[in-house]
Amino acid sequence: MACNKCKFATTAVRIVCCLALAILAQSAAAQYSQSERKQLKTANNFFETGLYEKALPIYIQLDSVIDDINLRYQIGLCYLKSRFEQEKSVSYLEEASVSAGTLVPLDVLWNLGDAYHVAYRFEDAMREYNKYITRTAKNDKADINKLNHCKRMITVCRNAIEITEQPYKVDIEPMMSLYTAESDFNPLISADESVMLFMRETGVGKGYETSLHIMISTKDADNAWAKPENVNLELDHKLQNQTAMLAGLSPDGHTVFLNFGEGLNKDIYSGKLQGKTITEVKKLNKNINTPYYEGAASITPDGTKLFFVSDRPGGLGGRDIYMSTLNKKGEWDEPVNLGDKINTKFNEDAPHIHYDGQTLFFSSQGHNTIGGKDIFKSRRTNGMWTEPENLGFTNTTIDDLSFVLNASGEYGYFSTSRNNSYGRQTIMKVGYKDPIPLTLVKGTVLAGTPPKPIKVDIKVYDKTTHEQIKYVYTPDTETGKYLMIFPPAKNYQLVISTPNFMPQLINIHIPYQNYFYELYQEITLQPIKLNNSEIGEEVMVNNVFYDIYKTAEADSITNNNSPQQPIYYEHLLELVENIIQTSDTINKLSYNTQSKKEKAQLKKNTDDLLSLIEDAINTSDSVTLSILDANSKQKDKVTETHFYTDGIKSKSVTMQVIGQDTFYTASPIDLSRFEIPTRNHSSINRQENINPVLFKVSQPDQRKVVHKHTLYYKLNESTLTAESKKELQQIIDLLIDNASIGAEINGYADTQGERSHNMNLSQLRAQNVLKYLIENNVDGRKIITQGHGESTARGKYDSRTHEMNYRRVEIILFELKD
Amino acid sequence: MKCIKTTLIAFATVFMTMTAAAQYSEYEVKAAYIFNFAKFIEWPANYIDGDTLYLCVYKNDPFGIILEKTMIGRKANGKDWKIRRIASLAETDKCHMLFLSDIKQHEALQVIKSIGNKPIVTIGDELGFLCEIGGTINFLPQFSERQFEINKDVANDIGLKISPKLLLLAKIISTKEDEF
Repeated sequence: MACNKCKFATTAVRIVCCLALAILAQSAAAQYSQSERKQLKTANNFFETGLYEKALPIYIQLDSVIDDINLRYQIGLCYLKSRFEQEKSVSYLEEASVSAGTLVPLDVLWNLGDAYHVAYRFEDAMREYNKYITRTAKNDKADINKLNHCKRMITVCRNAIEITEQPYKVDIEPMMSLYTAESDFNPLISADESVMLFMRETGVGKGYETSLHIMISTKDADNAWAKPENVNLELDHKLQNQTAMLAGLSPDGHTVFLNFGEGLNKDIYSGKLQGKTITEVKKLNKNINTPYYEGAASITPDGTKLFFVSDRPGGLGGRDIYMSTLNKKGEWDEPVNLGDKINTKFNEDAPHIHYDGQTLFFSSQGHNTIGGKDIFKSRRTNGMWTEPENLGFTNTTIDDLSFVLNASGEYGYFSTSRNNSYGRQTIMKVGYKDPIPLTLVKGTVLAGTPPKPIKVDIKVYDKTTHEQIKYVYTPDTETGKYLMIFPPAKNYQLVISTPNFMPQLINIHIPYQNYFYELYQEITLQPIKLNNSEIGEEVMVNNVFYDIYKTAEADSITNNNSPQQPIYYEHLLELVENIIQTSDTINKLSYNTQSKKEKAQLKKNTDDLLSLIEDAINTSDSVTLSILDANSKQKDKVTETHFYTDGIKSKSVTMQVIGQDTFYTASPIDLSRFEIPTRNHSSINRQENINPVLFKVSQPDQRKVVHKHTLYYKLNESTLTAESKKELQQIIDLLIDNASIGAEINGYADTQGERSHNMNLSQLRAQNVLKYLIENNVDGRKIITQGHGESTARGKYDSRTHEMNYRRVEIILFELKD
Repeated sequence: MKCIKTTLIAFATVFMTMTAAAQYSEYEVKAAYIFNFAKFIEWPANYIDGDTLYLCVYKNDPFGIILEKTMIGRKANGKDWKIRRIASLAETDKCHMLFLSDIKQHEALQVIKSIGNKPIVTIGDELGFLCEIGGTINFLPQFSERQFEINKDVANDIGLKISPKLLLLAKIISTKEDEF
């Protein structure tokens, strides 16, 4: 981006060069000694090659000994063209303009116009441009480029007058945590603002060589941006000698786009951001990269659309913004120019497609810019881009480079050199007041005891179109964290695959909403074990919704004096962000990290809450308690257990066809019943799910065998041994914990003795087990017992040594099929 | 006139509570309930030794520091609070109230058994089975008709006197099937 800046307004440079030659010729007339003439030549050489910072001190030196109005003109131009102290150009050019058309070229008029424009003196600037146009009106040889420049600048000044007069409804402050004496620009954030990348140019305005660095900052435990550090780049040898420029960052913060290339042939590369290192840097395909310039890039949350900058032929002039779609092979298709609503004959740059997939921020020298590049915003509605709107508050009379906005639309970042005489950029944070209606889901998949993050693969489908929603959902390989952004009023299906567990299918409903929502989700997987074999697994989905808007609204009623920004709202936002950043367990929600100022308030809140409940109890006021219940922030928790059929995992999955993909997953978990609480609700009665499972009347084919266990007996024995009791303990626990699990207890006897005695014996064995289970709090209604008498169920009777195999009780644990 | 004024105040109070209510998190509210349960429950004479109420949290603690923030420095019926986090059944001895969160039914059963007839108020964190298996109080999920349930038979059996005011607001569970 800095490079763009150096090269901007090539026409202007050309004009200046012609001008310099003219001056060289004219200055010969003034009284110069030979050494002074040599100095002047050196200065003019610097000037011609654009090294205004080097030419300037020489001109100033000469100006102190020689009275030449053209020297003053040159000094004015140096100030104007360099990044240093542009405002100083005004007085020199004003002086020179008095002699316009006589001692000094007529061009000084529009030069002065430029200087006034930069100094926000738009009326004065227009007057000078008009003077130039009038004075050259009769001249057929007048430079058409200069005239066009003046005409364009008059329009720009009109825009500027209009736009700078508009009040901005945003709070802007510099990001002090990043602040250095260096020039920081092109901030890029992940949708949840957990990572920021930006470019740092060191040495700007310090008189030594400048160099460019990619910097990274992450949020620390206090949710503040930590001190930025250099990003490590793992590059192959071809790229190692080139300067890497930031081009874009994916919404999940995992993919970075970079620019490499010689001269004007820059290309777009993608890389993976892992910690503070960018690895796997690869060039994007030939549909994206051409022998021309390709620069900044921005990808949609679903990962299917790439917006990028190119000056390839066939555009509308200069650099334009193009969009490419990911085809079914996973490759970028031939890009399309965004068209004349977005692109102009001037340069466009720095696209940032917002996470809603519809709002595009970009910079342009065209449209109603107030000077140089400005940031614009356009929305895509009905397949058309709306008229770009000048963002106003970010924009200055010189180049404004890029703008990014977080997912909620509350905070944006940009860089500006406003108020910096040396042109150093500073990253600014913008606070907006109109959030965007999206749901941001941030979550972790945990497994084991104690639960730890695991590697996980998540696929998300739109339930209606069956289209896979890609890319953003890729969880971090280290932490299992994932991030998703959902447009409202849709149903989604999540397929979560992890090693060692059955794939899980989770249905999510994102209701219609008109404000921003965040959902923190924690999915925990635990194996269910019985006597050292895994017989099933438990899936727990914990959801916490943060209804920021409602809280703010409620809070604004209590704090009548400051309805716009109650303290508690700020605190809550901070808290919410903190939780999301740290992605710790949901329990962390409870930890309040309040400032001292808020402690007193919180203590009072606790007092209020305690007396509120006490008063309600004293007055039997159930209404107040219902209101309290409905308005408190609660987590939603679903626990599902999946038992394996015959203890075999692969037998227990069912086929799911979603779109063109087939999955074998555990039975779906439906989260759709968790409506995001609507505002203004008073109470919703959750249906209590108490349908007793009728185990005893169930047919054997309705039962899914989960586990079998056999107890063996000595001859003619029917009482349980201590060892058998020990074996039964885990079965008892499982039966107690799982309402859906029943047991068949089948007693058997061997063939020794009377058949009727053996029948009784087998019944007694089964009954004793039943009795033991009931004594140990197992619900007797879940148990079916039967004595089978003499048993040859295990094959033909052949030898007395196997008799023990027939003296047994078989316990079959089963689950009723849905 | 006085009547109207009282109604207005009452209305204003409800209104204020409505707005204030929005600020609290789940466990802030639950902690406040527990605090108030202590005010409306009477333990057998001399069971509470001294002026300290022991609130125990068994194994899983979803509160974080909220319990301390709510209880410490405040008195319930003239008694100070002490919070104990315990991990074994043996430690239930010194508890007056015992909070159970995120545990399986069979484990809860062991806890209940180990408590036996001691007048310890067991409080379940949305454990649907707790009152059925001999627990005293259980919080119900959000948007339930009532916010908590009480097994009054268990309370009677272990010698706790629960205020009728509290019972009025609770979903009552009875485990004595013959009692109609």
